[in-house]
Amino acid sequence: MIQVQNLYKHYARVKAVDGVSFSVGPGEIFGLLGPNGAGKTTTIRTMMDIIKPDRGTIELMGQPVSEASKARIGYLPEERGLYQNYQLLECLTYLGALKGMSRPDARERASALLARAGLEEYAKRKIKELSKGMTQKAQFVAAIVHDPDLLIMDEPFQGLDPVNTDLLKTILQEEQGRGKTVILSTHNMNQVEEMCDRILLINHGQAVLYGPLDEIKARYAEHAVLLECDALPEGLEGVQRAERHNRTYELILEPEATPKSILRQLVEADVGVERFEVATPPLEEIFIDVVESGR
Amino acid sequence: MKQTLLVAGQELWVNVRRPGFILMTLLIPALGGIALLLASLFGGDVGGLIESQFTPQVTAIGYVDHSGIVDASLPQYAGRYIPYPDEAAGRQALLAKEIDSLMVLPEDYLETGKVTVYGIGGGFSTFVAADEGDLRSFLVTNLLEGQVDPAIQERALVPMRLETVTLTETGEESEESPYSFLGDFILPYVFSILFVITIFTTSGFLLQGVSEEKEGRIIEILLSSIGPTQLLAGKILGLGALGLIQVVVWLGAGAALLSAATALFALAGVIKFGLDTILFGVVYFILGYLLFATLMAVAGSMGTTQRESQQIASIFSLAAAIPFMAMSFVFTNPNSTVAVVLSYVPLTSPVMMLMRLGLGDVPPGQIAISLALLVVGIVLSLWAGAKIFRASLLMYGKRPNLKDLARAFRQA
Repeated sequence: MIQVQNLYKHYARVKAVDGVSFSVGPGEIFGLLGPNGAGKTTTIRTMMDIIKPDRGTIELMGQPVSEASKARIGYLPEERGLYQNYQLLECLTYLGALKGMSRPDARERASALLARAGLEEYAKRKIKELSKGMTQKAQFVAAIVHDPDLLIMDEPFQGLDPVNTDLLKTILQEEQGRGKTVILSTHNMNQVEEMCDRILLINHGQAVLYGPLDEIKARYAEHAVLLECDALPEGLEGVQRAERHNRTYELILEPEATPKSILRQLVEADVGVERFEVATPPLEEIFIDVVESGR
Repeated sequence: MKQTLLVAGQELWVNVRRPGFILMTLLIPALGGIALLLASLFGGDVGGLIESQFTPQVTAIGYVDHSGIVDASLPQYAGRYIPYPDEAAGRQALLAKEIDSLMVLPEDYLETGKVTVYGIGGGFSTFVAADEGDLRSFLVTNLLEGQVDPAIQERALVPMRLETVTLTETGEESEESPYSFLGDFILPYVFSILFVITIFTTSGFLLQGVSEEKEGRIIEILLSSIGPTQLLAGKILGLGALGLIQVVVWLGAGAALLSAATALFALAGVIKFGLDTILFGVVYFILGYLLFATLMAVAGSMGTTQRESQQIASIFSLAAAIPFMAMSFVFTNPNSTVAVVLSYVPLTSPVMMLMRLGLGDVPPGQIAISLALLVVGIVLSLWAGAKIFRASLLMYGKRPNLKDLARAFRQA
């Protein structure tokens, strides 16, 4: 869907983006992560052709990104707002028309999306009369009103309560189900783990982690297993030490031991195992480790 | 182009509904209508009405004549000019408000011409009370009464009743009213004022709109759909159309009021508009609007808040007002150096040229240079403006400094 190759954008004292490459396939939810000031927004703005890169190429469906390709992208920027004095539906219709839709089509699609987002009764209200949460949802609707193929969402769930967060997640997953591609930029690692297939972690303008989320987590897996059972048998070979957290044991393994050898011993000892998994750190921990080590 | 027109249409539609715009557009013709109505109520004697506003309402003037020139028996001054034997008596009458002012003629009046006038309530009211024309005719009448032929005395009081005749280039008597120059001047003058009001209104909307989009963080959403140059062009076009609507309404109402006034007050031939003046008026209006609109949009994009943007824009607003400050130079000599220079500077040329064109013949070369420089100014401001606009729009919370602007020129 989108391919970014050797992207560079340097300012006087800052290398905002420094040789970043990645690609996002069709129908994928892709996580674009990084600490504040890492270069995510600059990367996104160059993808949107809002700022020009110093070097590098960005292709959307094999074509260089240009003014024309903007109509196929739905963008929810982190710094966002809507016309306070416009009626909600009027504003969404205008933004849809700016993306190349006819006004009647934009109006119809905006009305349908407002209904989906639970905002239909506010369609004629001025935006300044809406609550913060409603405005957030309205901005989300504004980003997808023109039915784009690629959705770039920068902190889409910011300031939303859990119910509305869940609603927008569902809408995003529905869009993915319709074959749309989503690039999700957020600091909430739980949401990334829940929604993303692959991720790119940028730090100091450079890609520091890139690939399928499972593979990255496996790469950072500790040499340990998590075990949930009634009682831990004694004398398990290859276990350096065991730590108990309520009913869960974390078994730190000897270098030559494997999770498979531990599982075999448990089966042989006829232990009632309720859960057995290779211990992987949460993405948040990996994020902090990688970012801290880059300082 | 489609998006540019879409933005233009949206800007026009949103702003044409603003109560402030509707009020301003209708208020000026309404005021003209009210003025016309009032004038017709006074039987068409507009001049008399205006004059009466400036002529003091003098009921009685006291005088003390030490020179012995006043003939107290003259019937035309009986009851209005009241003699007093000395200044003390005169002052007392003045303080008792029996008279409005007191005139004292000293013994050596004939030699010196010195006259002292007393009034109450400060220098200005004394000045106003001394209706010079009235005092002059009182003195002339008294000086010449019985001394010269009555016809000479009358001429000394009213030395001429002026009639002017304009000759055409071929030496024939022109049928135009000698006051038709007033019409030549009025249109450009009105154009200048309308121009300034309209650019301040519409480019003010432009500034407000851009800074609202920036301050309200709408701009990045817009820029994800449309390029900054197209956005800028759309806004300028839309608000330009808005300005033209305002001017057309005003001109239409002005034409209607004028024809009503011509019929009511027999002004035929006095106010006569030359086609070339109208043509230049429209050309300078459109070009001037383009220049100021671009500058205002750039100011809107540079400020971090609306207030800051307005501060930046005030520099340009001030420039638009300079020709009005230099008006006295233009009236006394429409081709003075100051007037010519201000006709060349793009920020002041639209207003200044309109004034000069009405006042007299402006050499065609100067018009050509002025228009050329104005067009160059517009092209440069659009070029630089688009770059600054692009660079400034996404700078939240920070006003671009010179370094940032220089970088914008290199990179945009």
